Amino acid sequence: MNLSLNSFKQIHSIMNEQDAVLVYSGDFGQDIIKSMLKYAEEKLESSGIDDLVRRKIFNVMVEMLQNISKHQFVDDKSGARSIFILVEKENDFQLITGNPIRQNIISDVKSRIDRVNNMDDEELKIYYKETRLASRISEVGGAGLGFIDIARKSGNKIEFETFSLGSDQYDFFTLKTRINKNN
Amino acid sequence: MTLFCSELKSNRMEFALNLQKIMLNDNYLIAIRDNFENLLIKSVLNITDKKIQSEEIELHVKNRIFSVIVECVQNICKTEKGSDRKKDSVLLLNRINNGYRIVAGSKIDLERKKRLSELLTELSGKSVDKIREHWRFALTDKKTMDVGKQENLALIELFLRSHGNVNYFFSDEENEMSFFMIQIEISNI
Repeated sequence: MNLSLNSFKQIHSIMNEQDAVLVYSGDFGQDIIKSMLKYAEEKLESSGIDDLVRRKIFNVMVEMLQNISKHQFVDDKSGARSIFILVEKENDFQLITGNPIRQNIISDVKSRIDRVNNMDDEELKIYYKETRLASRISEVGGAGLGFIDIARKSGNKIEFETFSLGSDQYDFFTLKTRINKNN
Repeated sequence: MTLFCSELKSNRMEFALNLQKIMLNDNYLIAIRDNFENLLIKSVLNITDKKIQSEEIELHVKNRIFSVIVECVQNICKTEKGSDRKKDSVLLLNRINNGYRIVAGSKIDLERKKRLSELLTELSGKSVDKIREHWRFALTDKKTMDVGKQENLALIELFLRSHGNVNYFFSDEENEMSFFMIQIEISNI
């Protein structure tokens, strides 16, 4: 078996183990994002998923893909790029993104996610309004609403992990959101 | 590996980093695992189109890539309706030095394995001209009208579209099933 069939087997095996149905790695331009959303929309439509759940998945996916598009750094040392993974488990869908992140902003990102994760629905609603009113557009075009939006729309806690890339500037940041199939 | 306290509660996501590394190493662009029962082909082609449109490839190369993807999705990856709905089929696209590589895989029974194996061995030993002759013959031959004709024609088409750049592999599994992988390379030239 040659090298590419070997890596194919590895990818297939990881996708099987993790129940991943779509994996995309590379540049996250607007055209690619639109195509992936279209794919997800058609896939969910044909799977007979409840309308409300479908809308939730779609909205969270938009938010996560926009998020990754704004923060798609490339770590020159490891070559690491951004990745998007759609997972379908028996009881939920999971949206996972991974991207190189500057080490000096990790603690800020962590505390923003922790803050959102510690809020209930009502607190999130208020926090969203406050943040929107006080927001200034950042240099990458975000208004700081991404994590709040993801938490509100998914109805679940945001999970995250960071991994070393062996770089002195970047780590690999993974973010996961679950959307329950039965609402 | 850095771990924060709040991260300890979450399930491990290291597989995302591993997938990213494998995909980066072999220049994979996209991986889809599905039953391919539904009409996803249009959006699969759409993603491929957006992915390769920036690379200024010739229209005829693009058409060959699309034809190969369509044949793979409709014939190799497609699982029987009514069978268990496990997503056993995978389609991957990757960029290689002189073109693109499409890899498709699906779980098949041993009877299908035998039929495909015989045909693939036969096709692998032929020149492109001979494969074209084989294709013309298969179109009209009544014997090939029965079991698997569509799939046989699809495999011949894959050889023709790639000018014979086809590799395949069977990996036997439990329950008298085998995992069939086929790799088709489309050159830019």
